Amino acid sequence: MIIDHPLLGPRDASEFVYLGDASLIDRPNPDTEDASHAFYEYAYLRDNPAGLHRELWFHEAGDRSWLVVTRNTETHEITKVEFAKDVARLAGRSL
Amino acid sequence: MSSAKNRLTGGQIDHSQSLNFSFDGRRYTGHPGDTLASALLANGVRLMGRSFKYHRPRGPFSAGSQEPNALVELRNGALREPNTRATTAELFDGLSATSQNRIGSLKFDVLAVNDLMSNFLTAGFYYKTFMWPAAFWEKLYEPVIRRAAGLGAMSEKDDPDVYDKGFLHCDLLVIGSGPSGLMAALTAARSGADVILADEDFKLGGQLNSETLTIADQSGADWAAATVAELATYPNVRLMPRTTVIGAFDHGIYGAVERLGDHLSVSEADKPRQILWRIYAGKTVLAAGAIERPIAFENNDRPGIMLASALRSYANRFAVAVDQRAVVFANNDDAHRTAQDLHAKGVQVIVVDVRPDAPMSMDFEVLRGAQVINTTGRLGLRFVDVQLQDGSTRIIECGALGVSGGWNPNVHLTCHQRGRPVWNAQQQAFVPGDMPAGMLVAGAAAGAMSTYDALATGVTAAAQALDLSANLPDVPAAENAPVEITPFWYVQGASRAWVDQQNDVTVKDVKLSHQEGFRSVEHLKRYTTLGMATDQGKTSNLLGMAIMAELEDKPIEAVGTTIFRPPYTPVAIGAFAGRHREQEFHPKRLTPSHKWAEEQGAVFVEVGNWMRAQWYPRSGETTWRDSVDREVLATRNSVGVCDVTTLGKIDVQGSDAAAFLNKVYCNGFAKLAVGKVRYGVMLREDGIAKDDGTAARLAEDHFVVTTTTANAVSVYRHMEFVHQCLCPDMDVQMISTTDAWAQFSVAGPNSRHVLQKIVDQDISNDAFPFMACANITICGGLRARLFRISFSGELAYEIAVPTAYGDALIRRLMEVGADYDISPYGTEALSVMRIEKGHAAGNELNGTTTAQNLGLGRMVSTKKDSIGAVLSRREGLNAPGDLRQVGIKPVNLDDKVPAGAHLMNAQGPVDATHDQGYVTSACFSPTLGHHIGLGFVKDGANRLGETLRLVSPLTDVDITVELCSPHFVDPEGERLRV
Amino acid sequence: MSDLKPLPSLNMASATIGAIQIQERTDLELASVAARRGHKADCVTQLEILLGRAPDIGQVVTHDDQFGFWVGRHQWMLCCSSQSFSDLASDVKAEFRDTASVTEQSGGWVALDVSGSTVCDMMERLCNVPLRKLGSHQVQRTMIHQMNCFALTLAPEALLILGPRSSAASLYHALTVAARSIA
Repeated sequence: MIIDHPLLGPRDASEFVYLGDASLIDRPNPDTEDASHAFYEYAYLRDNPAGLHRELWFHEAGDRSWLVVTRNTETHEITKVEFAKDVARLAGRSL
Repeated sequence: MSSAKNRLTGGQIDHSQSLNFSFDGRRYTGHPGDTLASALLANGVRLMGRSFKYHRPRGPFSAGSQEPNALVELRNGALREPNTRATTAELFDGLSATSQNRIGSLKFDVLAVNDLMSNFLTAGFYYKTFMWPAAFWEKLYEPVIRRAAGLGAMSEKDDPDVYDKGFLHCDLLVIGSGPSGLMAALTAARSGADVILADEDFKLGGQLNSETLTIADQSGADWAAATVAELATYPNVRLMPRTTVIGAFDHGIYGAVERLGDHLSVSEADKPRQILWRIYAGKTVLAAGAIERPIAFENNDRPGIMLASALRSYANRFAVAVDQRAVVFANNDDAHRTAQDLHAKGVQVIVVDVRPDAPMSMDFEVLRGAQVINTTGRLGLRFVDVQLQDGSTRIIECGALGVSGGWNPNVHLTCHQRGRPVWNAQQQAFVPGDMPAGMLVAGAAAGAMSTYDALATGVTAAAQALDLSANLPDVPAAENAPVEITPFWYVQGASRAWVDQQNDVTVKDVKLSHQEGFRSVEHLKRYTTLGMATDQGKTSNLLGMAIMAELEDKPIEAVGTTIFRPPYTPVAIGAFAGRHREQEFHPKRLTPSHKWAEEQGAVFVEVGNWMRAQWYPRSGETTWRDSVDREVLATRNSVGVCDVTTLGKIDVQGSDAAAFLNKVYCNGFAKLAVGKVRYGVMLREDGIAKDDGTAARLAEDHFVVTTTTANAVSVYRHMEFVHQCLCPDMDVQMISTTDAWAQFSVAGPNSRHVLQKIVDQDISNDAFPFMACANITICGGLRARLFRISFSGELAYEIAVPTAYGDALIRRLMEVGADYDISPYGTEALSVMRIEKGHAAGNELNGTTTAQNLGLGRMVSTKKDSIGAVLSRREGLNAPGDLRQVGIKPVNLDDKVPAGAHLMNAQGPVDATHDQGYVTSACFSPTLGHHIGLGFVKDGANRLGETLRLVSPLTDVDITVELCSPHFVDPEGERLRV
Repeated sequence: MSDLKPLPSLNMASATIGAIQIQERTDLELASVAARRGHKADCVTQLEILLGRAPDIGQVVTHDDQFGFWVGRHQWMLCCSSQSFSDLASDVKAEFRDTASVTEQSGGWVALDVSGSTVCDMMERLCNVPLRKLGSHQVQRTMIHQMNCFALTLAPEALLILGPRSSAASLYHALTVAARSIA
């Protein structure tokens, strides 16, 4: 596969390391009452969609950035590639 | 000149040069441009192999890579390659080939008796017959069957050839160099695009080399040669003959095997025999042509019976008349061109055409509405029995029979992304359906069967791929005959009519499969083996499916095709391995002291890619234990030195560096003072321990984190994940510095004395206490880092210098340590000492254990959030009686404590239900004088002093052990602090 | 001054194979620079002072006996030719002060000059960098036989390969094997 890196352009997927569902960015607040349950879901429960999937890839043989790649699991078509850092900020993550 | 009896004049071979070769020990000659098959046929050899199951005599069925029958073992000794297609093996001087799958000689194969037993050996025979008793399968049935039924034999020696891998980039990849491929390449070349033109054949030109038709005013072959010559003048064009595109992968990545040495008697030294290319193609034009398909009839597999197009190829391209008398059996007009070409070469030819309205010829006899109903000839075709339109039978004597049931567009690569071809009723063939993104098809592969259409679609496909509209090449004049075909698959009433010659699948087998309920094409394939093995059914699949469609009373398109998968043709395993074999299987990482350690005669061990000194034998030492015990005692009694560069080192800087480490380590780092080191444990988010190490605070905004050797890469990745994905606004920057610093552990009661000789600053206990760290200088000014940390349990330091100075530093340490008998120690002594001290390592941090299991539960801070903290507190990981790390010593001090052994209660059954825990690490402790172990035991912390049974049924161990503190040496940690 | 002597990772190895020359460079000092939060512009300004121009994405900028290249977002590597093996990172840190995290990288890399008319043929047997299209003064991080390297085009038909120092011998071996393959 080819991942179209936001800065470096098309790069072979072999340069990347796959982690999994981009929902890993949405780490629960540990200070809420149901944190234990929220973390259980965060750590273990994933959707396994046939179709569009947002997933995390690390550009290990590149600029060392984590990317959120939107990929169709049925066709492998990649429709969007973003810096995970930007996605995380948009999701309200900060410090 | 040639003396071969079936050699014609002309063709695409060099008659002026002769090449000597041998087949089954007999010597023959051929010419440059020949394949092994064409040269053998020229010499009158039609019999080239025995069939897979029935050991029927077989000769070449095609003149290309689709060949099911003429598989031979090429070359000798270690270079021997089985299952090589004689039809594609390029002849070279000295080539030696051997027939395969026979016992005895090719002409008198003992196992030809299988053919007489064919009533029993039908599809599914093995499944049904050799089922009981099950144990017999592996020991008896399978070896015998494998000996009898099969293909060639491996040399079982190391492949002496070398293989490369490589990477190519292009705007347009053109696959196939026939009329459409050449026109596509030309169109792209003239536009300035980067073009790769790949063709599996050694001669570019594709089908044009096998035809007599003309393009513009030239013969097709001459036009191809001229076009190839023009393409060669473009710097933006890479011509790749002998290159098979084996797969179409995601996003325009193609795999291709280029054969550089297969046509040479010996590959040049250091040069690869083959290169496996990974081609990054912007766009692709597939111009892979079409493959003729057969018609099945009784005894349609004798040597001399082949595809009509093969007869045409052998005559036109290779200047070979398979026999002076030939019959062509067909259902379409194209086969008449074969007859015309053979006639022109002086072959007596008769066409048997199933169509009552087949075109007639002035030059040769055409038997309309007739069918071939049988053939005879023990080792090769002698007679063809033809049923004429009026029902009478005519027996024709001939040595060659060309069969044509039509042409199948070569859709293989269009289907590698799960695309399915679609049925075209007019052409009676599957044509490309859904295509991989970026791929276009041209020529016969797209169903454009005439030469003119092939040329024209080549231009349009390239223009479309590259979005070109101007300066397109003109399409030259060429034949433009429509496809005239009447579907006809097999002759009714035939029982031993071969569908798949490679796997000995007959019409009867397909019927049996249907009868037994294996009706979907995928079931048909598995039940009968139709379409398996080296040719993957290139000539047979459609025929099998057509018969199944008829039995099912469904149209062929409703039956469909099996899935086409890479590789297109077989690939040597060596090509996939490339240079990554033996010593070069993976790169080696050498420590800064490697050269010095080699000089000391160190024994090395692979740790990941690292080569680490395992121990340093001295003269007189007879076993590894002698060396390791000495190294441990030398260190504990005086001082030892060990290269610990392999531990991961990550430089962490930024105003939020401390806050960040607080996040990734389960224990606190925010308040760590500058100039101090702290041991830390990282958890995974699920609460399981991920890694341990130290973090040294060199400045308010600067830490050096160490990781275990094995996890250096994954911990760095994890830390980047935490930063970029979870706390993106933290001001923290990380970079790996594992390779940048040479680091040595200097351990033992005399370590300070030794180090003080080279360190420019005061490192007394007051000035540099336990867990101190600092930027220092050594030997009069070289920058270095010093950490007072200990893995061994002794007074110890780790000292780091820029890597280039690592060699000088180890030599200096040995020099200045000589007064204290300083001893280098390797990974074994390192491991023994950490077990004696009860420090966890990879065996304990094994991906299933928590901080609690490790006895480090109190480290997990509840005052802050860190990765894994929440889930580490969940009930399931904190049950009473959970595993705890303990020390294990044998009650009988002579007993060994084997790692991996399990603990059972002293009284009670030995089984999984009553398991009390297991040993993770074990060694002989020279300090204590007996074996010791570390392990996890249920409620272990509260069971110290208890006696348990240690068992390992696999290795017959059953001893009594006592649980104890894991800190066998200096449990109070006094030595560290002196 | 310390009397310890540095040891080049390949002992100044060099080879001429066909049209290819491979030569270990032992005069390079390296320091990585990563902008601190909110200081990207300051870093760019500082890079302009040092190199004349800040390396943009995928670029190498040479300036006298120094060069710098882009490593990642707001990250660069500064390289300086020096025979003295001084402390480049300290010098760089003094310039950037609190605007950047600076890390010494001199020991971390083996530097190999690879040049010759067939350098593209050779490199296409080793990595997927599209060298023929890359142009001069470009850098790409890439894998060469599983080793994580930087490939820098410093002049026509001339590359500088930076690879992990611990794998220097394996990297050098891979390069020479590829050079013999195409010789």
